[in-house]
Amino acid sequence: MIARASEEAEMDEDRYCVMDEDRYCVNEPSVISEVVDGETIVLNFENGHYYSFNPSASAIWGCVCAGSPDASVTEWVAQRFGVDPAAIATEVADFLRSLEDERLIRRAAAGEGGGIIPQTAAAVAPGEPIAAFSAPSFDKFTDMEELLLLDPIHEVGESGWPKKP
Amino acid sequence: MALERVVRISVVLPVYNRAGYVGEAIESVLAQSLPPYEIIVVDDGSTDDSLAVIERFARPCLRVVRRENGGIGAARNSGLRVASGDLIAFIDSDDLWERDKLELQVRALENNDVQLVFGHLLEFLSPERAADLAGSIRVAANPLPGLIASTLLARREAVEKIGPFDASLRVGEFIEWMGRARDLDLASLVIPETVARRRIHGGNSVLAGANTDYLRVIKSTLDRRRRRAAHGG
Repeated sequence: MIARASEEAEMDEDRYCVMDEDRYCVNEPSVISEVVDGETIVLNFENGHYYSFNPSASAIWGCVCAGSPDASVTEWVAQRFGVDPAAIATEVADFLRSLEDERLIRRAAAGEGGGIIPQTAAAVAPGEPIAAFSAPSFDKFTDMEELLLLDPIHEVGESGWPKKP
Repeated sequence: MALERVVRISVVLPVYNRAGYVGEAIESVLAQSLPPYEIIVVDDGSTDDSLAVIERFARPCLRVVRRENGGIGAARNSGLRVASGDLIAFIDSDDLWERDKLELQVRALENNDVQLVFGHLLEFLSPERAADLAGSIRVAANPLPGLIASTLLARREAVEKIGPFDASLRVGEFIEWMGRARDLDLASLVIPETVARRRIHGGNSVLAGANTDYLRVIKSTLDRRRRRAAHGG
């Protein structure tokens, strides 16, 4: 029994390590995002910073939101922009690290999320390049920090605001 | 100087289902060392006893506006439409003002060339929830620079220039409004004194989906700035 438990623990550890190193996830619940009128906006409630992503960054973000493994992220973005995956792998990896530095994403733990093709931010069918590839980047804004950190969240539903008319 | 004779302050207090708190909020306004000219309580279609609580405070300076539920932005706008003061202040129905809030801020407006005056705010755990929330919610130990509606006193012309609150937003309506104020380069000041206390009551949680209103606020702010930049302004 002891040996079997130990083996299982080892297997779990292996699985955990593989998933841990291979996939990012959004740093929820502190970080929220949405594509608003075609522009990916990301907000970090931890510090009140917000971001606007360029098209390739948006594609990468969509992959992370969908729980895609790192390798798939590069392939997906390359496909969307009609470029060689090898040519953009470093830029994608660097950009993912910059998102991690901003605490917008973190390494996924075992069992978190799924490794699927993104459907939300990337609404164009694979194989149809959407635009010329430019290095993924974001604009970062800190000007509303004190407002966003202090905004009183009004109460929910019947017990108070917010409630839509 | 008898400030109350020279300034007329309208206080707009929107309420929706806050029977347990709104009475204390009104009391804190009525207790001001510099009394406001009028208190406009906007009942946003409450279904609890909020209205009964409000009506217990019947007096000439207190006016109640009743409306169908439309959200906090719409409720503040209803109050602004009937406000007649030279200065405008807001207080949320679960917050409290310090006794000298208006007096300190009127003096700050008199002594500084600004349109908007904020102050510091102190957070507190609502007494009835203090025991069960103490371990789970972090409350700031010291006063914070409070850029929220409850700490603001503004000149009427500035409020008119900024325009109404975005009634479509469930959260972030004040951020959106302040974004427009900043774009207008309206001068503001945060005084060092604590002027309001913000009640933390555990019901301040985020409605699923309401969070995205913050992202809409950010997008509209970015678009507005881009339009401005494109037009050289």
